[in-house]
Amino acid sequence: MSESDVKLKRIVIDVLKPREISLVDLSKALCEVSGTNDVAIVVKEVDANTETISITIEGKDIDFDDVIETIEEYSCAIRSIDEIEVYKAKPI
Amino acid sequence: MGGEEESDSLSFLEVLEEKADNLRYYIKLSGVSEIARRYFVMNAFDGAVTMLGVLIGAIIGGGLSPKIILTTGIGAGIAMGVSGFFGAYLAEEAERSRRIKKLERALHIDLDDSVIERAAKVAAIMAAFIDALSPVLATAISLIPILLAVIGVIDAWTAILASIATILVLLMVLGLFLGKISGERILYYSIATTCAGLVTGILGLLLHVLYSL
Repeated sequence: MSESDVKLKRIVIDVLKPREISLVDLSKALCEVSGTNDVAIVVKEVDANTETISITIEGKDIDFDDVIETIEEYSCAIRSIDEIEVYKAKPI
Repeated sequence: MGGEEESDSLSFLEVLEEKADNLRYYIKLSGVSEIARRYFVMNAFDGAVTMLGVLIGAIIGGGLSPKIILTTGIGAGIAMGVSGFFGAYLAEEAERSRRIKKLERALHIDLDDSVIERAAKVAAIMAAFIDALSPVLATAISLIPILLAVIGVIDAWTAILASIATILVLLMVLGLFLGKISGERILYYSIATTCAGLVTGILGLLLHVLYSL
C-alpha cells in the first residue's frame, strides 16, 4: 500500500489572525480547498490587533498544503496543529 | 477549433471575474472606500475653491482674457492632480506599511504577498487616483464657461460670472454629498461649503482693496 492511500479527514489548527480578516471570508476560502467538506472556526482569544482562533477542517481527503497556503495567504500565523485524524483508503 | 476559442474566451472572462472579485475583496478589507470618499470631497473642494481664487485674481488684476484664465486654470488643475496623486500615494503607503509592520510584529510572520499586503497596495493606488482626479474634475467643471468664452460662444464677463456660479453650485453639491454621508444636517453642510466660497470672495475683495491702495 502506497503512502498516498492514507487520507487526511480531520485537522484542528491553532491560528493567530489579524482582526481585519473576517472569519466568514477565511472559513469560506478554507472550504474551497480540495477534499474539504466542513470548516468550523472558534475564537479563543481577542487582542488589540489579533485573534487566536481554532480551525477545524473535515473532509474525505483534505489537501494539507493547500490549507496551510490558504491560511498564510489570509495573513494568518499557524501556531500549532492540535488534532489530526487520518484513515487508510480501502483499495477499490 | 471553435470550441477551443469559446473555452479560451470563457476562461478569460472567468479570470476577469476572479480579478474583479479580488479587487472588491481588497477594497472591503482595506476600508479604502471611506478614505477615498474623504479624499474625494476634500480635493474636489480644493479644486473648486482654487479655481474661484484664480477667477477672483483675474478680475482684480484686470486680466479678463478667457484664454489666460483657461490656461492658468488647467495648469492649477494639473498641479493639484499630480500633487494629489503623489501626496496620497506616499502618505497612504507609509501609513499602511507602518500598520503591516505592526501586524507582522504581533503575528511573528512575514506578510509579503498576503491579502492584507495586497489590499494595502490596492488602497494606496485607489486613494492616489481619487486624490488626483477629484480636483481635476472640479477644475474641469468650473472651467466649462471659460472654455465657451475661448471658443467665442459667450463673452468674457458672462463666462467669469457663470464660472463663479458653477463653482458655488459645485461647493453646494459637495455639501449635499457630505450631508448625505453623515445622514443628517444636509443644509448645514451645504451652507458651510458654500460659505467657504463666499469667504474666498471676501478675501479676494480685501486683496482688491490692498491692490488699489
